[in-house]
Amino acid sequence: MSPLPSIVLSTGLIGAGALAWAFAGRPLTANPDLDVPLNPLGINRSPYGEVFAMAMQGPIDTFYDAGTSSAGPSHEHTTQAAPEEKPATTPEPEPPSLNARLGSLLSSLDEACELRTNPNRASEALKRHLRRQAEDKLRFAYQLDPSHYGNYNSLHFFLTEPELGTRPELTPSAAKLAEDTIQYCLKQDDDPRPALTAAAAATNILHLMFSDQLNATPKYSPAQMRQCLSLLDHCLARFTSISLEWDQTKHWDLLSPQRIAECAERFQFIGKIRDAAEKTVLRIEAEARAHQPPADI
Amino acid sequence: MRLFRLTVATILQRKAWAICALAIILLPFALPLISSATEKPLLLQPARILAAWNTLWCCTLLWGFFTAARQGEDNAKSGIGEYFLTTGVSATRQLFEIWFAVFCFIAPMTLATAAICQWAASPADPAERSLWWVLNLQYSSLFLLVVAQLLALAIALASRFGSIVGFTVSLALALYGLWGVGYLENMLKVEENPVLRGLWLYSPQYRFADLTQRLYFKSGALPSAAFWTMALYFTGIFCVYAGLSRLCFRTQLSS
Repeated sequence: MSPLPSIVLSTGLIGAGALAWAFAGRPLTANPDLDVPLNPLGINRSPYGEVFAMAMQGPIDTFYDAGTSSAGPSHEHTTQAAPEEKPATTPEPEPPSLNARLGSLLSSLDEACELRTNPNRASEALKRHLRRQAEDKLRFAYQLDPSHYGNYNSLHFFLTEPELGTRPELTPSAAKLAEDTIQYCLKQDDDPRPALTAAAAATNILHLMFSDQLNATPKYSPAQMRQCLSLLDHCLARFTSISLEWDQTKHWDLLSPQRIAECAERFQFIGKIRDAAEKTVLRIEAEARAHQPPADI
Repeated sequence: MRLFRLTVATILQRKAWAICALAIILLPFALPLISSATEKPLLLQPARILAAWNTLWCCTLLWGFFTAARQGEDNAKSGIGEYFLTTGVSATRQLFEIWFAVFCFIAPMTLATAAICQWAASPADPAERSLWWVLNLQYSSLFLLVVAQLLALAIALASRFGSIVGFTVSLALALYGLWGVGYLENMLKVEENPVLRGLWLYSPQYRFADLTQRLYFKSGALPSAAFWTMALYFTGIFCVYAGLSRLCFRTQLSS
């Protein structure tokens, strides 16, 4: 084909294509049914996301330690913890195997990578930056698996952490996080563990409501607290009922003993917090009743 | 079709396709073993769907585009293109034959992925299963339509600017169209900007061709009107890229 018709053909293709592109693009971008939440490779809330979320706890610890440590030249937190743990795991003095030696070499290299050799202390701006990175990673881990107990609680802790600014009020972000978590976890019918995460979120809301009572004009009424307490009870009952189903279907056997023990421990812990929260609600209700009659008159 | 046969033989000889083929067949069954599906067997099939389609996307975006770019560059650099030109095979014909050769590797991989989804991850409910067929078919055709245009662009750009440019530009366009436009949209939701809005509107929105989440959440087949609009949309982009590729494609580096 001679150059001119070839160029004309190419230009025609581009023109016709651009027309079809523009013509079909508008209805597609305007159609809300085709709008899918941004989720690269569908990883968030997927079975792989749940595993990555667990694996992310290590890097988060590194950033958190670096961001909160006040140490100057060395990284005391990690360098001291490692030697203490070793005698406990290997009580009998045996010559270390090749694997163990390789493992210790790798962990020492790991520590060397994180070791701060700068004689000056980390600046406040750097520490704040590292804490922010830890928060971003916590949020990412939470997005990967919002029903993970550790992910949710770590992020909640970070949002309400005093070092980032004292926030005694029920802050919108922490409250929204808790509400979103409860909503997501209560949709999970096939696993009892999200119910525990939802229960933890309910205790966090209660805690923030109790903190709000310290303000001169509290925003939350005892009735709202009672409602939150009944939501907490619902979450715990849901955990118990799905656990029983798992007992019957032998689902628990698919989990390691450590993770089963972790669940039992969390259940007990939340149970204790629930009892304490009920007492606080009763006390606040009694105080409200004591103050109410003169106010009504 | 001698250049087609030569390109197929060259790609076969390099054997990297075997890694992709193995990954596409094995990973949908192996990856769920390291997911939380081992604790919750209900999640086994969703995990398989994610593994199958994500492996295909990764293999195509990395191996497929790289192979296309390399073949485009080799054709211009080694003198093969010039030789075929003297035997009467036009530049457009050469572009088509190289493109078709690479496409012949990607298409069976896509069909294998759809087959794994169809037979190893289909829903138990018969009503959902009939929609499953349609959705798999829709996904495969949209995927091939998107990949085909980017392969042509990779070959053409590589023939003129080298394989690094051909590969990175096509990969960057694919990543931008799949997820970049989503981030741009999120930015626009926070703060409206007419220039960015225009850019977003006329960006190649390949995200419409990624139906993994529809399979994952068993959302059912796309409505046929939406599917045909998407097909028209991607055909439009295909035509634009085909025109640009024809203009850009060179059978020898110096010309």
